[in-house]
Amino acid sequence: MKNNTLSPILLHSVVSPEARGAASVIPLDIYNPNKTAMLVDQIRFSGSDFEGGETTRTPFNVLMAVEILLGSIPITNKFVTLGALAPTYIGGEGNAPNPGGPLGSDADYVLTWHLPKPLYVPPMVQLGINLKCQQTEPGQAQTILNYSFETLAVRVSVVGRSLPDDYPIPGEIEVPWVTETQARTTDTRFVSRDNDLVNSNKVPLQVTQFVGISNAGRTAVTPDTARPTPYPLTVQMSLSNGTMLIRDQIPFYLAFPSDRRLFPLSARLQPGAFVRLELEQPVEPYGVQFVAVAMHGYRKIQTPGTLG
Amino acid sequence: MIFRKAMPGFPSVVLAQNPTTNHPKNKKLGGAPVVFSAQTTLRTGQSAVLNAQTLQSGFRTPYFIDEIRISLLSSQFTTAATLTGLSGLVSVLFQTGSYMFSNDAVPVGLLAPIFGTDYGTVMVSNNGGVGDAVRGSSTVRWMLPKPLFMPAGDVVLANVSLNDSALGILNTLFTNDPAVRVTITYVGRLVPQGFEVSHRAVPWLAWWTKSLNEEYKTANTRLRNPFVNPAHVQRFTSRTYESSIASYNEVPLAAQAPTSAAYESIHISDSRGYQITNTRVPIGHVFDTARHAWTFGRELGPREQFNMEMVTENFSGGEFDPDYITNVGLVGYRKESL
Repeated sequence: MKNNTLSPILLHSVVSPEARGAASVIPLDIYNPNKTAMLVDQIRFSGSDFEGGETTRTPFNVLMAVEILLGSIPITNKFVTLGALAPTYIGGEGNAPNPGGPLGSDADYVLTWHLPKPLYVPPMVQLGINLKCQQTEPGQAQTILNYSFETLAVRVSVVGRSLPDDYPIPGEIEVPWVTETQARTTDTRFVSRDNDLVNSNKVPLQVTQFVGISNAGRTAVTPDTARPTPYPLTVQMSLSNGTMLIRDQIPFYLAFPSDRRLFPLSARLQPGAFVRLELEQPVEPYGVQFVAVAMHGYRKIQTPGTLG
Repeated sequence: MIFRKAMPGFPSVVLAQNPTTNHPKNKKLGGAPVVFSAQTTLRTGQSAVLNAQTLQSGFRTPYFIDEIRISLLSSQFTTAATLTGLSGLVSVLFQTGSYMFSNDAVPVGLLAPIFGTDYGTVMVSNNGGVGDAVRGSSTVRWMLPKPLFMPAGDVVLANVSLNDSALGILNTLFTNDPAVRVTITYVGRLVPQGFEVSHRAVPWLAWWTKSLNEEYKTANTRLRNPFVNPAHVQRFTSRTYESSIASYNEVPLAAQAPTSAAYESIHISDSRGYQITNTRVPIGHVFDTARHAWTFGRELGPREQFNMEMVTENFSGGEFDPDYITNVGLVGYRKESL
């Protein structure tokens, strides 16, 4: 069957997680109504206007984390910060809303995650999408994650192509894998754990890119426009076998530029292999640091019997 | 498209030395690069056909057009928002022989998902002299869905127009210099004399528009395949413009929350009865906001169509000022025999 017989499909849902809570997208909302298999190309996220009016609130792409599963197969390694999933956040400044106009509010911001490969979703198999708010507990030190809100609505769209009835079931499918390391520390040095940026699958992982987000040592957080600051955050990356990906400590914003916060890399990671990430700050920052870096890739999985 | 082999005697070294094809789907064909360009100046409500002599090959050989670039220049548009606003005011209608690219003039912003890299940032001085007016330019780069084969001596005619507006926007904006210079450039490759194809892929564009002041509107048959052959739909494109008596700016596609003020949402199905979206979806979720497009690839049979309806959510009587104009386009091609 040729690709041009596929039909575009967009499945949309709205969920409302509570503060420090999690919520799942209703499976039926993102279930292919044509009852056939589909290829998922992109997943989009956006949040509602925050209530409360704080001037230094947490951006939506830092506040929220997502967990995605294909049936029982994990696509993300537990929860991944949205800002580390999608490298661009279109709509305007992260903490400078443009109120007033009918189309000019916080809700203009949209994150689109382009999957590294189209994901084949067999018929009758559910795509699971869970969202979690990453706020800190009340009473903790001032951090970028202590923003409080009363209501929050999150829009989620699964964008892809619906396959015809007679589309042959592939013998193996390419399933994305995203795993994250997250630093919330005032220390001058942070090293990711070995099971953070790891290929914990039983098959090799084709790595495609790293996506990073940071507040760059500022209290008023605008992760998407991270610029040089008096206390620049630097990053170094290496493979578990000692191979250097970033040899020296370089400014974080050079590895993950502000307009498109990704570090492309084509590499093959064997099962159990991992990437070690080291962050340094020359002096203790005046704000609590938030850094999230995710490794994106895909692995091949035999189709029969692995989806439940 | 079925290509026959190049004629015997065609110097293969030319192919090797001129890897000029810009179109990733057709790199193996190669060919010497060709660029044809023409420009005209438009005033409010005017339209013009660009000089056909300068838009065709003078080599008397067939050629391919891989992409079409459209530059818009005006002294009144010197900010990023207004520069992209021009893409909603200037429309173009292409035609080659008896084949139309669209059945209506299409706003140039709907042709391509992204502008050129100089979009919104390049301010060129008029004659380079001190004190000259600063002019802004924006460039749309439309990579055709398939390279367009052009027989020797054939040309794609371009009819451009500067749209008037019911709000009289242009009269205000163009007080000092009511002109927009439109430059259209075809980028392609020469192929040897005798190179033959039995069919060619002619681009096909369709579009429709809605104001936020309209509570509900459908595309009706605007997104239909009017041909007797299947059409290949490459993508939907969309742009939103803020329109007032004094300005016409592009704004981001919105993805409003359910509790927000008025915003546009879209529901799409097709004439086969299949749901393309499962519900009404904010336009910012239908299209990739970074590229103003939803690219998928879909064959649309003869007389088939996409049914698209747009709704102003949280509508409270309309009369938004400024108004918000949302254009939605469909970009694809159909095969036509030569």
